This record gives sequence, structure tokens and C-alpha cells, in this order.
Amino acid sequence: MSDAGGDQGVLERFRVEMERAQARQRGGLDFILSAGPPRGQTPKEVVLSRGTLSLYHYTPMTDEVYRTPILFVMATTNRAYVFDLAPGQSFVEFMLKRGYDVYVIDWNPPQSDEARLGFEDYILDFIPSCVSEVQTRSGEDDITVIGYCMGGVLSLMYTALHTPGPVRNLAVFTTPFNWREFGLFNAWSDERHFDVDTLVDSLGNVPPEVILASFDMLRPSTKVTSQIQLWDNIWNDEFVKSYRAIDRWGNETLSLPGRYFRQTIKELMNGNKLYTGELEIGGRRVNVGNIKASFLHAVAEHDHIVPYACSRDLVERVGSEDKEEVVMKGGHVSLIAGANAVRRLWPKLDQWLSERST
Amino acid sequence: MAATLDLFGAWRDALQKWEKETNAALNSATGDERVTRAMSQSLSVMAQLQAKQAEAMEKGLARVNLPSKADFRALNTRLDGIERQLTRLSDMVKSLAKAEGVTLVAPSIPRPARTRKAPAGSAKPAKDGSK
Repeated sequence: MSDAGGDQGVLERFRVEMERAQARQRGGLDFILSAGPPRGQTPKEVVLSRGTLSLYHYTPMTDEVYRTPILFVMATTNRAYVFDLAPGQSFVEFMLKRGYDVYVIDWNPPQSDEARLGFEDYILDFIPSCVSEVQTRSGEDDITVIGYCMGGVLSLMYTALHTPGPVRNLAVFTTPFNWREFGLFNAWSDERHFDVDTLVDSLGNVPPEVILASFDMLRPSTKVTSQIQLWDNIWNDEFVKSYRAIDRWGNETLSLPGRYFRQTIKELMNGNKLYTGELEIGGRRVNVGNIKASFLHAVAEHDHIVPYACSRDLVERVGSEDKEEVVMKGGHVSLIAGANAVRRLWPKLDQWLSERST
Repeated sequence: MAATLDLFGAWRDALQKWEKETNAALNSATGDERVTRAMSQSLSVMAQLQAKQAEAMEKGLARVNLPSKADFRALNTRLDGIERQLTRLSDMVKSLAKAEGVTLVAPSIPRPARTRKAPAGSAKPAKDGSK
């Protein structure tokens, strides 16, 4: 009896796989012949543009918005359209429809003369200029800052150095704090072998290929298996749409200003100075204990870039009374974009923020 | 019975296992000090070669009377200076406008009322661990 049922199950499975094989042929052809899905479609205006810095203001989508505007700070390694992948897959669109006034800092590839940019430029010039622009446009003094990955590190540094200041709420995602726990990145940037000075002095800006290769080397076989998984799922339009959007974004890595890269390696990776409280920017110590804004840290359970050990101590060390860390299923990117984010992080952020934005 | 004959499922599981094991093996290799040292050395050599190549290119361009990267850089620095001055002026205008109570936002951007309240029973996200 059970064998007959089992045989039927196998036959049914075989039939499904044959149908998928046919759909793969059609999907594969579409994949080769069609352009990638459009990205960054949510209406916006560039309100500030200066070299590597761009600030976008998204057109509100509700008749009434929360009082406190949001400023997203993107990681310096990638483009901010990961927050606005495609209609229906857009973090920004989600927040706009939930009634927020949204601004996003995007980073353009730095030009050769911008190799001199360092933490001081980002923390004491770029982010304050954007905050000032948001305050002027919204007419509000308080803002919410949301940072992703290295954007989270910059947001921490900015908030710690501007307190009391305009940041009412600070949410960071997958943000490294204890840089000694980076694992392979620590080994590759070991100062006994890795000569960051020669690299930066020779090249000026650190090219995107170096950054991309270091990310890829964390999971060297995943490039191969993701191609196989794409072929396996090419019958599934939703999977292909999401795959193309995220794959393109992941491959569009930015170069980094040489001085900024040098500081990241020496001060943060080798010196772990954000964690020890020894980091100085503009002659002032960056102490996350000075942060008093409401604080949320969302980390991904399967983050292969920023391991949990790297970020877990942050919530304890931030000086805020109202603070929370949430560990969510997902990886470094799937935490903020794709189907997982739609179900987990986005509603969590809305829930956390709605009570703190009036 | 069906589970044991699910070749497609077994193939996908095997692929996942292979990915995990290969990543672990390659990570262990690239984390080795000798490999790390070799990688760092080759990166330094590559960077120095690129710098030499750029230097040679610059000399070649100067010979045929064409602007080099350094010329464009100098031009960019000047433009950057102008951009900074404009930002400073714009910040001054904003401060003045704020002091006078004047709104500078372009009329094309809708300015909805900032009076939204948190919904009483907002949708809860999928449950995850928090502390």
C-alpha cells in the first residue's frame, strides 16, 4: 500500500520535474535575451550631490507622514539601490507606504582626487551635511538614522560624536563592532603580511575588483552553486527576478577612497579601535557609550560577512536606555532585501519605528 | 519510500553539502598564514605594476600633448573647490531662510502633514530572537 503511494509520489515528482525542465528552456531563453529588471524605480529627487556623496529624497506616498524623517546611510562598498530593488521588492517603497518621509545617502565611485577622503570627511562633513539638508527640508530637528553594514559603522561614529544631537532613533543592520572577530578578513589583513600602505600609495583608490574578490573569497564555491541554483529555478519567474536584482547589485561593488580604506584596515581591523574606544576622529574619541538615542541592532543569523561574534557586543556597549538587538533568520543581504526581508526586517523596523517617530 | 527515491531532492541536498564543504575547505586554505602571505605579496606586486603602468601612460600622453590623469585631477580639484563654496553659500542661505521662517523646498515635492500616529495594532513581523 505504502509502496504504491510512494511510486505515485515518485511519478508525480518526476512529472513536476519534467514540466520544470520545459519551463527552464523557455525561462533560460528569456533570461539570455532580456535585460535585467529595472532598479531604483521609486520616485525620488537628488537633493545633494558632492563628489562621492549623493542624497536622495523619496516622494512621500501617504497623505500624512510621521513627524520624524528617516535618513538611510548606505554601506560605502555598494550602491544604495539595494533599498529600492524593484517595485514590490523595495524597502524604501515599503517605508513610504507605511507613512515615513525617507532620505537615502548613496555613494558614487570616488574619483582619483577623492583618494584623500577619510573618516573625518564622512563623519564630520558628509553625514552632517545630509542631516542638515533633511532638517531643512522636513522642518524637523529630530531624525532617525538607519545604517547598513559599514553604513551602520559610520552612523554609530556620527551619532557618538554628535550627542546630544539630532539623532532621535538609530537603527543599524549587520554592523561590525568587535573587528577582531571578523575571521578570514582578520587573517587577510594581518599587518605582518598585508601592506595596506603599498596598496593605497600605488593605486590611490582601492579598486572594486579587490573589494569584490575579498567578499567572493569568503564563499568561494557559492558563485558556482548559485549558477546551478539559478538554472534549477529558472522556471520560477519570481526567483529569477529576485536573483537578477540581487546578483547585479552584489557585483556592482564600489572602489573605496584610499585613505578611508587605510583607516578601516589600520584603525578598525588591525587596531579594533571602535571597540576599545581609542578611535579618534577630528581629534575627538568615538565612544559608543555616548549614544543615547533609541537604538535597534538587527543582525542576521547566517551572516557570512559580519559574523555574530563581530556585532554581538554592540547593544551592550551603546549608552541608550531604550535599546534592542534582534537576531533574524537570513544572511548579510537577505536580511535587508528579498522575500526574507519582506517578512522579517521590514515589518520589525516599521513596528519599532512607528512608536518612536511621532 | 518516496523520500528514498527522490533523486531530484537528493541531488539538491548533495549540491548544498558540496557547497558547504568546499567553502569550508577553501576557507581553511585561504586562512593559512602561508597562503595569506602569498596573496598579500601578489596584491602588492599587482598594485605596484599598475602604478608603473599609469606612470608610463602619463609620460606617453605628455609626449603627444594630451591631458593626463593628473591634469584632470587638478581640474577636478578646482571644481571640487567651487562645489564646496557653493555648498557653503547654500548652507548660509538655508540658515538665513530658517531664521526668517522661509521654506526653501521646491513646490513640486508634496509636503504631507507630519501628524501620522502609530497604528494601535500594527502587523507583527515573523518571530526572531531579541535581547
